[in-house]
Amino acid sequence: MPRNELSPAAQAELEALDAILARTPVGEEHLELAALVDSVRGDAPRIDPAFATQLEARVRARFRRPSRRRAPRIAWPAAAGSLVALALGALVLVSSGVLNGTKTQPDELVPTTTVAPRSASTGGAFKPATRSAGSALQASTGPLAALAAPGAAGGGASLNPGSRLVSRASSLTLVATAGRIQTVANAIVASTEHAGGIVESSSVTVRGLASHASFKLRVPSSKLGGLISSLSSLAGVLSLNQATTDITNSYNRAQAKLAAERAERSALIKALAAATTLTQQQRIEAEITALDGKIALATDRVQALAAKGHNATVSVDVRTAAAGASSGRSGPLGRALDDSLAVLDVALVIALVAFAIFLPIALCGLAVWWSAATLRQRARERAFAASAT
Amino acid sequence: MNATLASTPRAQGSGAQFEALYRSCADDLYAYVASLLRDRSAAEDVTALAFERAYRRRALFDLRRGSARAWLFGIARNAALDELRRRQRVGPLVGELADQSAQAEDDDEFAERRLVVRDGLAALDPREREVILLKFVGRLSNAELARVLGCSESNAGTRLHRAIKQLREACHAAQ
Repeated sequence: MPRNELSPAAQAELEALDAILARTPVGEEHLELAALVDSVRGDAPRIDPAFATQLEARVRARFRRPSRRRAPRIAWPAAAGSLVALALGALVLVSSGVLNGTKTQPDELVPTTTVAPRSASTGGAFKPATRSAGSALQASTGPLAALAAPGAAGGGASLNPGSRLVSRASSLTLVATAGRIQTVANAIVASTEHAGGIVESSSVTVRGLASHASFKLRVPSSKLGGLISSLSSLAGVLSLNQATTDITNSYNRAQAKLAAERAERSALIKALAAATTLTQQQRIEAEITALDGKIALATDRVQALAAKGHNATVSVDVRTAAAGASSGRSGPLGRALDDSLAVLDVALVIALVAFAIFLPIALCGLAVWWSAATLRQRARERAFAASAT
Repeated sequence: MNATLASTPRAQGSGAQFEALYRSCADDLYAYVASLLRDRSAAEDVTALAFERAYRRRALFDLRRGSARAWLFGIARNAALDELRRRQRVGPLVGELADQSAQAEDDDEFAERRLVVRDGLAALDPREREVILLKFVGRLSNAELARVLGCSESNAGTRLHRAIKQLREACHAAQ
């Protein structure tokens, strides 16, 4: 027992005190201390027997309070578990697509049209596909038909009010064994043609583990989801990225510019008819010629934007299993392993996010609790010190 | 000193062993609380509250941090100080503790000595008086004393020795 701050005599007295309290005999030099202890203990307030009996009964009754109607107790652990599950579910949803814009489940890819009507209630939010590809094509080719006759009045050239023109681009990386690279490449071409698309460019190299293939595909936007699903079934999916860009404003600006130039051309033709001198006629014809060049450029621009909105681009890269490192395994077992690793990866991300969220909260709570406890204890000590006065 | 509390309340789990804790501590705990509060009614309330709190929090008790007796006295001390705080807000105590400890069978010499010691205790600083009460009435070891008071064991020993010295001097002055 460390009593470094006490003299040996004081230490001996304290040891004697412990002996006295334990009712062990002590030397004569400590009898005065024993008498002091007896006096203090003898003068100490005695518990009232009635109160003692009553309190003992409460102890025996385990401090049960008088029976009263209690509301059904909420299963706090279950409630807390449900809240945590909800939070984790929300995190899974957020982390699965919204944060990085990447879809990992090809089955979730639904065909969408290029032109989707805007919801009146949401004022700009996209609705699921409600127009067919045919109508989308009509919307985009309308201005082209009008341009075929430059002098005719333009009609149906612009998008329907509230319609949006969206460009879609996807990037898919597949992993296959070296021996299957050529087979997968052939299947990619077949799937693209089946979806009504074209192979803009392709490159296939078969050279053992260094084999690889890459494709640039263009497919009607309405067939994009089906094509992605089809391609994903050909080999293991290493990654899939999808990006969308709203090009409605660009399209409308190009359309407006084209309409203005066409109107200007009409005005020049009228002026040409009313020209009285040869000089005037030559000047107006020159202006019309220059304007025809601008109209041709604007037409190309509108055509390109319409085609961009109507057709989606898909980049497909096929690697060998070895090049795909440890991921992207082929075969059911390999895919199951990949899925398991992906689930663990997501779980780790969720755990890290949850840790990052809850750690500061817990630290703040701990600090508040510690401060409150310290302040309360100080208030107690102050009250105790003040009780003497 | 705490032979009746060989096992922890958590390990005990059963009310029977909490009853044993109650029986071993109730008298001393009440005497300590009543001496602090100097009000018999409030002392009964605080004593009952301390036992109830201890019972409800028994799962939090950790034997490695001290004995059950020290833990119980710590709870009682906090409850008593909370009562003192409450009194500060609502008003001072009107009555003093009645002398129900006086025993008719005491001889004159012992009765006189008790009065002297009582006056000596009353003259002490509250913190010194509390140390005396925890040690003499509560029969806590110095380690348990340190835990209740929130100081080191050596500091508790020093404070105890100083309090005994002060009590002796106060008793001599009262004679």
